[in-house]
Amino acid sequence: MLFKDVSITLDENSILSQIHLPYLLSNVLLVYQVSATHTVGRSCLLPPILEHQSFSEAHFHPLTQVRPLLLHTHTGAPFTSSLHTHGLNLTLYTSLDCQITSLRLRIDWWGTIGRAGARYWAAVPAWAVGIVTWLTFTAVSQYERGGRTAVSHCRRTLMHITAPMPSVSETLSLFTRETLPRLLGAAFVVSLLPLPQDYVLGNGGEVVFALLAPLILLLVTGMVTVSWWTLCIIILPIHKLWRGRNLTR
Amino acid sequence: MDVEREYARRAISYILSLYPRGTSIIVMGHSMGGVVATSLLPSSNISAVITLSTPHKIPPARFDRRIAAIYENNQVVLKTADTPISSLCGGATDLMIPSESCILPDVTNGNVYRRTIFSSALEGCWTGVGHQVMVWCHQVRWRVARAALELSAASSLERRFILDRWLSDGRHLIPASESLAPLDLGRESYDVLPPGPFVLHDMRKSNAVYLAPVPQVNHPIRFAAYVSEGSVLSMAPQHPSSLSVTFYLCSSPSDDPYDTSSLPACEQWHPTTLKLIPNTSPERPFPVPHEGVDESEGVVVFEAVIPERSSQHRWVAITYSTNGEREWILGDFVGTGPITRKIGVHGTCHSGLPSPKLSHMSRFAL
Repeated sequence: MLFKDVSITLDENSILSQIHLPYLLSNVLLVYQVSATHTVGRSCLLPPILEHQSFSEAHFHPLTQVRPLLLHTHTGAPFTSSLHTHGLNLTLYTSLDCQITSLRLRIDWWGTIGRAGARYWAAVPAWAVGIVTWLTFTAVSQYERGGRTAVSHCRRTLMHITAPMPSVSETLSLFTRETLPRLLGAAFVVSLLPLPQDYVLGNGGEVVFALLAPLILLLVTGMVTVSWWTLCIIILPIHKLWRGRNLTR
Repeated sequence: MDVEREYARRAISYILSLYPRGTSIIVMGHSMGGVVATSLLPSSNISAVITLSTPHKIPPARFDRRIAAIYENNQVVLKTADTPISSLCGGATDLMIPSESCILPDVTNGNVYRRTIFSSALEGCWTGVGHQVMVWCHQVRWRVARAALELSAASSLERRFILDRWLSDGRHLIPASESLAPLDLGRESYDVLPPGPFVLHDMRKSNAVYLAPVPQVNHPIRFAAYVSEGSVLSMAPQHPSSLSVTFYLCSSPSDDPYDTSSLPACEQWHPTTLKLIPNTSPERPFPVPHEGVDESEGVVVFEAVIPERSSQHRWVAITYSTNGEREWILGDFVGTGPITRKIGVHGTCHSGLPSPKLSHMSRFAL
């Protein structure tokens, strides 16, 4: 169902139809789209209405309009444990003068992406702090390892002069070329592990959401990089002014 | 929050000191106030707790170890405290808190009353409600007020039924307040409907009895009926019409329902589902913006299981009384099994189990 529609044929002669999808993932991060095929009818005694039930929640959707419906739930969610993570129940109520012949179900990707953004927006600054910390320690470790050492016999003392600390741009470049690909792979693998709900992105190893961690990592890395470029642009005129002042002296 | 909890505890003690001994208090909390209200438990002085848009599971800001301790303690309370707790949640419309955190944890002790009601499922509301709007939304507010008024005069055994009645999402069947006497067809005039779905409308008779024959099929079936804006047993919109409907299950060894030597015996029939659903209109959006649902709106859904095939001939008796003409009753026999499709998100498809289809029936309208 990730990339294709599922069609469910209904009994046109029934005033009440129930559809049970026991293995369908029921999670706040997933939005399903339902579109209905109507029979042509006069004004309806009871216009078709679709009830979407999850464990503790229900929504009523009139099927009188042509545009598809969006089904969402709060049964399963990041960082919250639930015994009812699968199962989607639909009930159709209608009079026989306006009937629904079939329902078509698919994942609504825009809604799903929106849900991920709404739930994980707090992870972005938190992970950004983590990446900046990683960059800082990478630069410090480069400094401590040094590139060249020099021995000076001035005043008969032995001094170790190490290579300078790499710049932010050099550290970022090193991070994106060497560290980030491995981190992306690690994030994907860790997302598949059935960890407790308190860890990582709180999805407990659900395969469908395994791509979220590497995507967020990539996004945050990009955000840190763009933030550095923005800082450089802001500092550049100040730097030029300062250099010009020093030269005139 | 520790300070608020202590303040609330002392306030409750002071208030109760002004009332006769044994008086209890209802505590309501909105948002984090609901967390404070829950943290007051267990307490024999608190008769019920109603929380509105409260994040019970996860605190919105988790930077403080002390708040984590309060939440850990509350999780134990939510599973064990005797005081009934209802949690009203606004759903996706609540942009302040994730509504999954509003859901109360599962309890295994049947004596512990816990209800999570989403406003989109709340009968007579049927819409998501924003975080702050929860305290002034009319469709929510008046139900909470009615529940509180009745709770104040209720015994401990009655409290859960009061909460189920006024804050209902249709998932829990409310026991009938009184049992009905069997229907005596010998004293009533009645009409027999032809087989198939039926619609009763333009009700010019103020009182009537109809018999709908139960199909002779080899698989389990249910009877489903919709009653527009009227009442069935204890279920009705807040301002229902004059239509009052009762359903009975009748049986007779004779296949002739008019056989006076063997009239069908009709007993009270307990529903498996009795709930209120919205009756939408193609001309108006649902719900109507800035208004919501009117208190007279709603269709009662009555579902009951037909017992396994018996040697007797059976009918469903529909009796109603009304002063109006706009209402209608729609009913039919439907299969018991849902249409099951074993599909997952990854697209794994197995053979489906379609619901049993009844033979085509003609409609009958009066």
